[in-house]
Order: sequence, then structure tokens, then C-alpha cells
Amino acid sequence: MENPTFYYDNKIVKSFAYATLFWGVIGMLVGLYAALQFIWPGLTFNIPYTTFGRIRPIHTNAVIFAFVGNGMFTGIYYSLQRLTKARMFNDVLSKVHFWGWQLIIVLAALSFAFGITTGKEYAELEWPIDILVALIWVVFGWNMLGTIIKRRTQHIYVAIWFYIATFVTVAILHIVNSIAIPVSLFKSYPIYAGVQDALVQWWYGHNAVAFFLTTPYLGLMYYFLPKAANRPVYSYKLSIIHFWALIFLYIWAGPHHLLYSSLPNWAQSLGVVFSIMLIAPSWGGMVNGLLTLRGAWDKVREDPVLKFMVVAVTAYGMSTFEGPMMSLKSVNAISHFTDWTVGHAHIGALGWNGFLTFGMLYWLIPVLFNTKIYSKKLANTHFWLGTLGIIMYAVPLYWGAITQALMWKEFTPEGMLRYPNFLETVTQIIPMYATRAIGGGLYITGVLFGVVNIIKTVKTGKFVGDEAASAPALVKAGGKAAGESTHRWLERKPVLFMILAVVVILIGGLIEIVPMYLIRSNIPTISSVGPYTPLELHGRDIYVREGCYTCHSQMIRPFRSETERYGEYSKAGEFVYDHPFQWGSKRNGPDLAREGVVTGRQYKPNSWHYQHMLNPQALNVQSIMPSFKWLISNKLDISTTARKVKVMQFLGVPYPEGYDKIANQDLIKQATEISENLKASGIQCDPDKEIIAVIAYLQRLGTDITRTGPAVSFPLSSNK
Amino acid sequence: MLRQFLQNLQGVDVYGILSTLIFFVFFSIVAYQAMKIKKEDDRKYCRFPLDDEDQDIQNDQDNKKN
Repeated sequence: MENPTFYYDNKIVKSFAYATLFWGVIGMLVGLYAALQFIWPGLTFNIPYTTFGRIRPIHTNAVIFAFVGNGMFTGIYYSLQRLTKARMFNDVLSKVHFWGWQLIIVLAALSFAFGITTGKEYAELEWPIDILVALIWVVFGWNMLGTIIKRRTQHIYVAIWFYIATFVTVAILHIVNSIAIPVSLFKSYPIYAGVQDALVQWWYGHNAVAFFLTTPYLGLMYYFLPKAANRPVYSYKLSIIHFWALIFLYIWAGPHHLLYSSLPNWAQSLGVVFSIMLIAPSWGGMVNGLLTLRGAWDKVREDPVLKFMVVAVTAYGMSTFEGPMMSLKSVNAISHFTDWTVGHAHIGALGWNGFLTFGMLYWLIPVLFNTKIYSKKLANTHFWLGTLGIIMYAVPLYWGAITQALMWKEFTPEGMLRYPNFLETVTQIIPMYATRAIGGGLYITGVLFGVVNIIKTVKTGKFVGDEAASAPALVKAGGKAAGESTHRWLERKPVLFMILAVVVILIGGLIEIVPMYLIRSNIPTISSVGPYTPLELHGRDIYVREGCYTCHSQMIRPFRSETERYGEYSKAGEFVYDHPFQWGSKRNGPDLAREGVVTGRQYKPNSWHYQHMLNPQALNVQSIMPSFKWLISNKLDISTTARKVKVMQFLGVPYPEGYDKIANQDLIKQATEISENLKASGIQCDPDKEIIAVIAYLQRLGTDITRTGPAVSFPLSSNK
Repeated sequence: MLRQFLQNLQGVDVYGILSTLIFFVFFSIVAYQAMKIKKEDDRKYCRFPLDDEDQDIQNDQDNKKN
């Protein structure tokens, strides 16, 4: 009897492939624009929508969720159908997934440009878009699992294990990290505060790398690399060990983003230990990928697809070695808050994700269009420009990072900081930023060549939207057959497989996060730390809106070089009312944790802040900070004060009962005082301007632990 | 109750050792399962994504086996 015929849906694969290229170009161009602002700060043109703080999340989200996201879906929709010998479960779900995802990308870009952000890296989307993300992700998962269930093959191949792990883990990470209480349609406060928020955020942030940028791409590697090389995967056994060890270990590693911070030591140590152990499964995957090419290395010389894939897998190996090294506390003491992290991230993004995506597309597009690649020469040019681009991007950043970190830490023989002015350490590495931008420019030039090559390839071929295939129907097998290994049996049970994957990833998450909430001693309270005043709260929200955290940290590590420069090191109890935390991860400017301490090294009067926001270069010609002059003309929206106070009360911030009704009285009083103070310095600024709230917030930073009396009480008139 | 239980835990940082132990137990089970797979099966499964014909044959064989 003939096997029944069915049709693979190539149309959805094509749509995702085109979206990958489109968003890839956009995301990378925005990245280049951001990089150029380090050299020419005036490139923001003094408008709010183009400042680094707003376009940095556009760049990161566009590259991660738009470029890599669409790339991931391209590969999954193609390979899943072939590996299960089934058409996608439902064409409507495929279309809803595709258009829903593109809508999310557009909404994300617009919202970030308008300053609508949660202020949590890689999770900046506000709550309505977060809900949309969750819904579309469920559509993707439903479609994927439906396809797996109606498959015509007995077993699910290793690539599908990675797809399943991606789906369930990203869902859990997104939901847990995004829980927030809305203030309005465009504003919410996360339910977590301070240390807890930081832990959840970096548990999410690190695992966004793990389960959005790594596991799905490992799945793609396990499918497309053997296809492109026409060689079987090196070892099935290794893939089993690699898969389970990787998903188990990855979920624990988040705290390595918070070393030397106020996170309790036990959590930091867990993060370090599991990060180091991660080398083993990561390299297991790399070895399995590279050894798949055994006996086919001669093809690498000729075939641009394999060239891209080999460099991708090598970049994966490099960055998964570098990551654990950066998790060692002694290395992290130098690398953290510097461009080393940025260089590391781009080895992964440009090398691993970028090159695997282009390798896959150079293989896939000719297959979809029944043709050959238009120009191998052009593809090779793309490859070499990209490779050179990666090197020219990363090496100067490593150089700049180590230079800057050493300058931060250098003392004179007299025991004084050699470079007390933070700006000196920035201007020193401007040439490295310029070289980085050239590297990025080369990479993008290569991508543009790639796009032209793919468009030409598409034009020479003939697309088959519904590709015929045939396979025998699946005979449902029951229990374990004689001689069948347990894992092989498990591969016939996708639902059980998924449940086990969930259990494995939950172990790490629960052991790290639950104690942080339940054990009070993790976050010792400080009696002088109180809630923000209503004006400071508004100022903080503007700080978040403008993405100040993308350049300024609020976390002084317990190093002499930092306490000398910024003041007393940060304590966990200082952040208990911070929804969200704003510790930052990179210092393009100085730390601001003690900005308001009058006796501190960082203190500046109100008038300085006003002038600095208006025109940073007027105060220091070498400053790379953009102007925020709209803060001076924008009127502060105080209609939301009551709601903000109510939400904070709901989250446990101890404003007195009924304070929401009188909060604006306190706000106006404090704003008037700052306005009067500016007036005394010769600056005319009405108390109802946004700059007043920002100044209030900056002047509050770090002052609580230097207070001799109790915490600020409300209403403000009750303070002596 | 859980809160009280955890609060009374002495040396909660022993989590580091416990967590590592959990991983090694888990890893040992996975490694043992992987090692149990026969060499010829390992070779066969590695070919899975390569071509449709092989998959059909394998699928038929698996159907018969089960």
C-alpha cells in the first residue's frame, strides 16, 4: 500500500525568513547608530526618541526577539515539519503566530522610542505587550506541540527536544519576571523590589540568553548542520547528555550577573558554581557540532553555508568558555560594568546567532526556491566581512574594557584615586568605541550583501508553497519495547518529555528564588530607609523612562576603588522600596547610588543637575551624555500620583493609609522648594516641570543610610 | 509553615553543596541512560535528519518493533 501524501507548509517558513532579514538589518542599523553616539553624542539631535537610553532597548530587543526570534521560527517551522513528517498542526495558528510576533516587534519599537519601558533589561516591554507576548507564545507552543503529537515518526529527534525546552522555559521566565501591577495603560510597577527584583530579573535575563538565544539555535544546529554537511550528527549519546545537563545547569547561572552586589553570598556562589559547570554541556554541544563535520572539512573550504556554520559553532564555544570565566569573581571584578560584557554578548549574537542564521538561510532559501545560491562569491564576501566585523567589534571592546577597569582601580602612591574624574576613563577609550563602530559597520555591510544575494536567489528560483511528501502513518506504540532504552522510550512520549524538562528547569529556579523571598535574613532591613516622596517617585519613573540605567549603575561594589570614588558600598536593605531595581549592568557614566549624599564625592547642587540635563557638554566638553532638555520644558503629569501611591501601598511600601489623597500636596511643596533653590542660583524653573522631579530623585539617592534619624515619614510636614 | 521551616534552617548556604549534589545525581542518571544505548543504535539515530528515505525505513522498522 502506498504511503499517504501530505504537504509541508513552506509559506510560513518563507515569511519568517523574510522577517528575519528585514528585522536583522533594522536591529543592526539601530545598534550602529547607538555605537556612533559614543563618538558623536550630538547624533541624538537633541530629541527624546533617539537618546541612547531609548534606542539601546530598541537595538537589543530588535536583535534578540526580532532577528533571532524570527530566525528561530524560520528554522523551527522548516525542520519541525520534516522531523515529524507532518504539516504544521494548524495554518491559522501559524499565521497568527507570524503576524502577532511582527505586531509585538512594532509595538516594542514604538513603545521604547516613546519611553514606555519597565526598565528591566531585555524585559522592557510594558504589561499590555507582555500579555500579547504570552498569548502569541502560547499560539506558537500550541502549534508546535500539536505538530509533534500528530507526527508520523515514532521518536522526536534531538532538535525537537531543544524546541520543547525553549517553549516551556521561555513561557515560565516571561510570566514570572513580568508580573507587575498596572498604574496605567503604559506604566506598571513589578511586584518584586530591590534584591528580589534583581535576582528574578537576572534569572530571566541570563536564561533569555540560554533559552532564546541558545537552546533553539542548538536545535537548529542539530538539524541544519548535518543537512548542510550531508553528514550524520557525531554522537546521539552526547546529545542526550548535552541536552539534559545544559537545561539543568543554565537555569542556575543568573546570579553571576550580580557578583559583588547586595545579593546574598550564597546565591552569588551558586551562580558561580553552576556557571563554571556550564562549560561542560556547552562544549559538549560545540564538540557534537564540529565533529559532525569529520570527514567533510574539505567542504568547508568551498561551501559558504558550512563556513558560516563552523564559525557560528566556534563562536558558541568561545562565548560559552568566556561566560563562565567572567563568572569567576576575580575576573568579574574587572569585567563587570565594562564593555567586556558587551563584547562577550556580541561574540554570541553576531557569531553564534548571526552566523548560524545566515548559514541556515543560505542553505534554506535555495531549497525553498528550488534553485542554487545566486552568488557564492557574494556569500563568501558576506562571510569574510562578517568575520572581520566580529573581530573588529569585540577586540577593541575587550581592550577598552580592561583599560577602563584598570583606570577605575588605579591609585597614586599617596593612596588617592589616579583618575577620580570618571570622564577621564571614558575619553581614554573613545578610539576603541570608534573601532567597534567600524567593526559593526563591516558586519552590517556583509549582511546587506547577504540580503542582495538572497533577493537575487529568490528571483532566479520557483517557490513551492506546499511541498508534497509521503510517509507511513504512525502506529501508536505502547510501553517500553524489549531492548529499548529508557531515553528512546521517552522520545516517543513528547508530553512526558516536556513535563520532565519543566521539572528539570524548575529545580534550579525554585532553589534560588524561593529562599530569597522566605528567609528574612537575606535582606536585612535598615531603619533609616524609607519610601520615596511622591515627587521623587515621579522622578524615578522619568529616570526609568529615559533609560538612565543603560549608562549609570546604582550599585557600589565593596572594593576600595569604588568606595573611594562613590562612597559607602551598597546594602541589600537600601533597595526594599525599589520597584523596579535600577542597579544597571554597564557604566558609560559614573555610578549614582550615592549621588545625593551632600558630604559625598559625587554630590552636585540642584543647579548643576539642571545645567547638566540641559547641555552636558556645556559643563564638560568631553562628556558623551546626550542632552535631556525636554525635561526642562515638559510638564510633570501629577494626575497619576494617587494611583502610583496606591499601587506602591499594595506592593507593601509603607505610605500611611489615605496618603494617596494628599500625596500631591507633598509633591507641590517639595517641588516648590527645589524651584526656589534653583532660583537662588539664578535659574528660573517652574515647580511643575519634569526636571524638578528628576533632581528630587537624584538628590535622594544614597541619602537614607547617611541619615542619623529615622526614615522619612509621611506627610512630609511630619518630619522634623 | 514552609516559611517557618525555611527560617529555622541553619546555614541555608549549604544550598550550594546540596544543589551540586542534586546535579551530580541527575547527571549520573542521564549519563547512565545514554551509555546504555548500543553503538549501532547510536549510529542509526544520528542519521535521523539526513534524508527522508532513511527516515521512512527507520520509521517502518520502529513501527514493526513496537
